[in-house]
Amino acid sequence: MLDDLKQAVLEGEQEQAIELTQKALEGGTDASTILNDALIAAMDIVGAEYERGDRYVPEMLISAEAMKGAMGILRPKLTEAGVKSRGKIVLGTVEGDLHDIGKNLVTMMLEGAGFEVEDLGIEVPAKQFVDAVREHEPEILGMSALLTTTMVHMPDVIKALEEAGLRDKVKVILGGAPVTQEYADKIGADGYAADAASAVDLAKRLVPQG
Amino acid sequence: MKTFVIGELLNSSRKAVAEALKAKDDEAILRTARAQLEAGAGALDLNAAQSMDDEAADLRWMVRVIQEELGSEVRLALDTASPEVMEEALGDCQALPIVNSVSNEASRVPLIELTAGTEAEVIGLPMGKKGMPKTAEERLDEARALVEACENAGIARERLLIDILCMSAGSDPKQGTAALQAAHLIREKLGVRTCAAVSNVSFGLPSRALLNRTYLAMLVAAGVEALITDPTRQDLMDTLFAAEALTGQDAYCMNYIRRHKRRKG
Repeated sequence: MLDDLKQAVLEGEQEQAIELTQKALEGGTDASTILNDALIAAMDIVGAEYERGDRYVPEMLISAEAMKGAMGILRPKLTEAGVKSRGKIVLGTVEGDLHDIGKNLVTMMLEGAGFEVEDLGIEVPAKQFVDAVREHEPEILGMSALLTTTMVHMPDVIKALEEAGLRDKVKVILGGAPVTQEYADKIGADGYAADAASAVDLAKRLVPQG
Repeated sequence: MKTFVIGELLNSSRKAVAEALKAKDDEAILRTARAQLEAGAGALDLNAAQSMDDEAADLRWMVRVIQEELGSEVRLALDTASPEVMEEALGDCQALPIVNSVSNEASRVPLIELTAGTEAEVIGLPMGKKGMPKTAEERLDEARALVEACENAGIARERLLIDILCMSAGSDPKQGTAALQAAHLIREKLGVRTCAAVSNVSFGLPSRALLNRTYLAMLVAAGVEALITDPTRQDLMDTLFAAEALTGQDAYCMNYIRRHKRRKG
């Protein structure tokens, strides 16, 4: 049953994924087993295939949609059972930047890996990042910028976190076309990821499974 | 060839260019410039944004090297979002420059003012008034607001090329058609020329070259006047000539025939 569910997510069959999740729950499988052994297991494969170039963006999208469907019925059960997420991540595109395609892919893949993601959207000012860190207490804060002119807001956010006394409470990771590892090091971020799949690897490294 | 091709290769987001800028390797820059011009580029896009603090110096260096070695008539598209960098580099251009690009995003509005005081042609990104447009109509609305802002500042619409914002079809399959429809709408409703950066459309998908040249043919059919692309790719340029011949943009198909004969001979 869980293998079938995993397969449904891999193939992006949303209706089937929902149905099989329902059946598994009715059959007495507990929610966290379904999450870990079927859904997250499938998305792990999706990410690995994408990194290898064996899977393309639309194939990643439909798998994430299938998982999302399954999570719709699974999430209340997880909450009920007091199952905690893999970790919490706040992310958004920085001030003055309207680009969201890359950030949305990252959100999707992080959720696929079992992280709880608070997506602040586009054009997020430093203050809003800081407020969100205070409110949600995430393990990781992710920032995206697609322009060299907006990338310069990234250090502003880090500085604002320092001023708010929150910098040591959260790991800061960066992504986006003009961003490099060198830049991340220079402005004192904790990590950089070149694409959605490596963002997941990075998040897993920064938040070891508890 | 009727379509105006802006060669995209001298962009510092490409590693080879970033390294050439760092090392001030003028031969590398000139090789890429020459290859694009010989392949039919009407202008060369120059971007030094990855040089960060040295952006202005590196951009001006590229302008100088190209003009000195390849001639003052080479047209250059200055690709920077920084008004300061743009202002410095614009002053160096001997042939009519192209400002790449203005928009209604807060950070780019100063570029409108700056460009108004020059003769330069201008690429305009139809975004920023309400955000990032998704549909053809939203692109038209943003384009209208941008044309208005430019005209108010003193940039006649004849100087404008509105980018139709080609986006990844792999992330949102509706984007391919939305941009094509926007080309029609912007020309009809605003009487402004359009341009397109071809390769975005294939992001995240296999056989990108196939998608790029197929979409290029559609862009030509939609009447897009300028393309920002890699003219050194023969498959793309072949498709461009074929598409123009097939859509009545090549009188008696002579350009297409000449290209064919040159290849054979």
